[in-house]
Amino acid sequence: MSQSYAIDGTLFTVSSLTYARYAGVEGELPFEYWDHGVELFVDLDTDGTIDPARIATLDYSDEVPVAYVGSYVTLDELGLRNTRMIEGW
Amino acid sequence: MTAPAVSSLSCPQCGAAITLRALDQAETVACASCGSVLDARDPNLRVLQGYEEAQKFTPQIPLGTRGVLKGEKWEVVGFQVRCATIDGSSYYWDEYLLFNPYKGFRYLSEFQGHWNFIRTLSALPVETRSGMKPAIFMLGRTYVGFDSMAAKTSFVLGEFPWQVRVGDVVKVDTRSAVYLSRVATAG
Repeated sequence: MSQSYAIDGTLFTVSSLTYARYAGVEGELPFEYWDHGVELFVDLDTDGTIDPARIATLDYSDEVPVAYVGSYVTLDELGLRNTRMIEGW
Repeated sequence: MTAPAVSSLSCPQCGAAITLRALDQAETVACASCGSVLDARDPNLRVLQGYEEAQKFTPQIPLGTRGVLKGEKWEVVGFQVRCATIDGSSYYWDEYLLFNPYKGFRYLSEFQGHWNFIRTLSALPVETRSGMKPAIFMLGRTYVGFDSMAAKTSFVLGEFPWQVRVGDVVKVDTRSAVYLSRVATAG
């Protein structure tokens, strides 16, 4: 926790450690989701000097850890269409 | 406007109806009738904390109220009263938890008629200084120290996306002027 790492040229700080397992999958996935136990996922955030904020996840569920880097978006920014409506909203 | 999406259950402590409004986002729900804090993730609403408050508070905006703030629709799903003791005097303020399934959660706080509309941030604040004063730099703005206190939860009602308990104490650092507040749990 609180350690910083440069990933893809951006400085990220560890904000949470989560142990998780697959609870269910649907559809076709380009990776093996079976034969996994509880695996470590590390979430990292950028600090207030980087605008807009970015996010990274270190995924330890395979033999070689994989870093995923992304940014925060709102649902509106995704511009999804024909999605299921939430009842009452 | 269509009816709010709710699911109805009953409190295992007192039998009163419990309404869940935040879809499946709630961690805990406090019974509006007896004040017990229940596990919203448990189909049987396991009791996490029995009612033990001396004081009962009534929110100015009842749970389930919907309204539009800054052009977006929000529903009040949770309410808590927090208290800070400064120089022997107790100060109480109200915090409303607002929910919109497409936007997430927001907070509305009220102290002596002064209201704040609050959202959590996705980046980490950077500790800095402004002249001699400790400050926080955040996304192009510097926030100078304003207040630092321990805030105790005195009363809860409705749903929360975290494990709320009466008696919870958090450390709050508030920075003016636009207003930046850090809330940290101990331990």
